[in-house]
Amino acid sequence: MPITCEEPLRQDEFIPIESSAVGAEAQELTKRVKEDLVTICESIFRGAKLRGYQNRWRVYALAKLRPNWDSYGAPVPNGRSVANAIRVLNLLESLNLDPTRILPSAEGGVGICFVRGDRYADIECSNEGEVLGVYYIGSQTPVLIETDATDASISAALERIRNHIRG
Amino acid sequence: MERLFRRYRREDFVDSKFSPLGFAFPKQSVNREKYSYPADVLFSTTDKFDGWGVLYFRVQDLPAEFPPDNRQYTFFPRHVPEDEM
Repeated sequence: MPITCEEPLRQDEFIPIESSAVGAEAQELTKRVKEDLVTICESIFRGAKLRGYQNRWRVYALAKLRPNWDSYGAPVPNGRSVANAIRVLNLLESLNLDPTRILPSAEGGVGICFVRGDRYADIECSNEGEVLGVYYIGSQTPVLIETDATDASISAALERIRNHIRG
Repeated sequence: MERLFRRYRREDFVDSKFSPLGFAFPKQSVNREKYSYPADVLFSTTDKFDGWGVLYFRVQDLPAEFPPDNRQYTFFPRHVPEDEM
């Protein structure tokens, strides 16, 4: 089990900054966007849709990483892995299970992670076209879930992941 | 009891857990404790690892085979020093 030796030094996440540099129209637009966001956040359905769009955007963004993005020679997710990851996200919608994070795989591909307490699971779409799942609790031996990359087997894998995550 | 060090991106830690997605097989490169400090894996003259972290695992914790009930991978450390960059 890997152990953190040193915590990262700073957060690198994007933080939106408000600006009135382009005048009253921009302020009005900012106000309307904020109101729209409040409306979306108050709606479970719209909130889920918004998270779905954000997840897809995240997957597409991963394809724009530079080669060696992990400094250990990791390849960039290719079109095959991105297409499969989008398919996984589409299948997830009917399971009412939100990913905790979407990450590039150091082996080449896209991974969709689920974490709840000490329960972890992910489903990885590789650049070679494979779709594999894994889940475990704490330091227990991980359980691998193999699929044949069809919608039916991916859905079955996602159901096992959902059952694992929800305990 | 020697430890092996590897740098990781902040994103690879999900809810305080290191995601295995950030770890590549085979031939994952690590630094040996015998020859380095943890922070050495973050050394860069251009600060390109600013904000990254360091994780370690002990040599004896490497499983010889994985998964135990359906062996698909074997593990062993190999000392292959690289030239200074």
